[in-house]
Amino acid sequence: MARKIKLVLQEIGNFELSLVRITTESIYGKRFTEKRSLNGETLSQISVSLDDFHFLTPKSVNLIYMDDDLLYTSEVVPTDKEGNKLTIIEDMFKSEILLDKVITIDEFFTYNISKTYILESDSDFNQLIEYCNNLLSQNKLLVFTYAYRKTAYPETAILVPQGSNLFVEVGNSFQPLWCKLNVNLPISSEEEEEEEEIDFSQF
Amino acid sequence: MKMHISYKNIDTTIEIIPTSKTIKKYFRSLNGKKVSRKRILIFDSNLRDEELLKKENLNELLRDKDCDVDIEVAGKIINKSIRIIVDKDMKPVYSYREYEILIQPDGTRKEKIHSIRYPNLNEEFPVKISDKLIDPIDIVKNYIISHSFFITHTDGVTYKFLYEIAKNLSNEKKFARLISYDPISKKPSPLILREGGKPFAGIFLEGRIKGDEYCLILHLSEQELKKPVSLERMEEKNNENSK
Repeated sequence: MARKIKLVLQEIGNFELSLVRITTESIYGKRFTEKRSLNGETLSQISVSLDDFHFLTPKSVNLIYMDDDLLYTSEVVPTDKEGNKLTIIEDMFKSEILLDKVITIDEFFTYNISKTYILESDSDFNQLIEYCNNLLSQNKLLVFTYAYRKTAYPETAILVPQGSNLFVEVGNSFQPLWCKLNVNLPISSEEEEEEEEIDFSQF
Repeated sequence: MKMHISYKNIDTTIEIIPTSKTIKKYFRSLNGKKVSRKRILIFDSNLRDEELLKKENLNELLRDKDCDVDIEVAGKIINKSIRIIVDKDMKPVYSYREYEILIQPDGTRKEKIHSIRYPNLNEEFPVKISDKLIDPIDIVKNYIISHSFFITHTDGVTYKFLYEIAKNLSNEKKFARLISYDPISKKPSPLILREGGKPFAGIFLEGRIKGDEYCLILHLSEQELKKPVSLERMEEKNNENSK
């Protein structure tokens, strides 16, 4: 069941839209490798613990947080490397999302997209699609903060129009790397080069 | 990673660097102690559902004896593990065949003998920067860029070569389309960075310049930006019902 977000575009209005996830699988099909014994039986891949040689079948292992004294802790706080608490962002479904930020096409290409959704609704949201199409013709795209759950690591959601469809691409951006020539050549003037003589002396 | 590229019939080997690093996440307990994630064993294969269901009077056993819990095993920390192939009786199997299965969105199943995808990034046949330029807006509208890499020079000669490419692309305000080849058949095929890695059919090169500095970004796409067939069919059905 797709979750709904409430987008608010001040000049146009409010839109309650379903976020429908699009994966490579949903477009091109589910691809996987199946291992079969020589008599045709389908085999499975499992893990074996090297500590005591336990066969680890699905759901037989749990991940829990433990401190250095191997004491279990049920609640954890996200921090930076130095231990300073990070700001927690509430999930985006709790309140309305104000669409007041835009990025340029150049900035769009500094994002690596991790998730894609299509926006769906029973009611008409053509005005929003049209607004996004107009922005795209000016080389701009609307963005908002993406937090599917309460998190300290929110991502950026970018609204990408394509005809009558409106997609949401989610990802994180990076800083461009500028490269220049940086070589350590011996500094010599042309005059010095002319005067330079080759010295064959051995000692 | 090294990459063998060609541009206007000149080839060279350059370096590519991932544009983003995995964010390392740190957590502390409520009393400020450093915490890390550990794998804890709940049960091993002797107590998996299939084994429990073989027992007679399972309801009574679960009620009276907690037969689904082995206190000698439950709670053990798992440090290292390896992956093995087993049959339905959990016996290791060493001889097997691998098949690639594709279940298409319409439900049709296709299968073929599995073949390893070999990287074609730094092979004898270079990845060609084609003369075909593409508008960035067309890329935004049609492809999902999931991975990107910076292209960097390795010496003064490759600096000049790459600066020239970046300058041309920057002046044109367009991206170049790259064509990668299968190292064996020498036919165009998706770009594969690592053995068994994802195939990237969409390979685009963006170039920017700033004085004597350049920035070349390789954008990779394994997916087109389009509505899944299943959603389109659902819409068609809804439209028919409403009529």
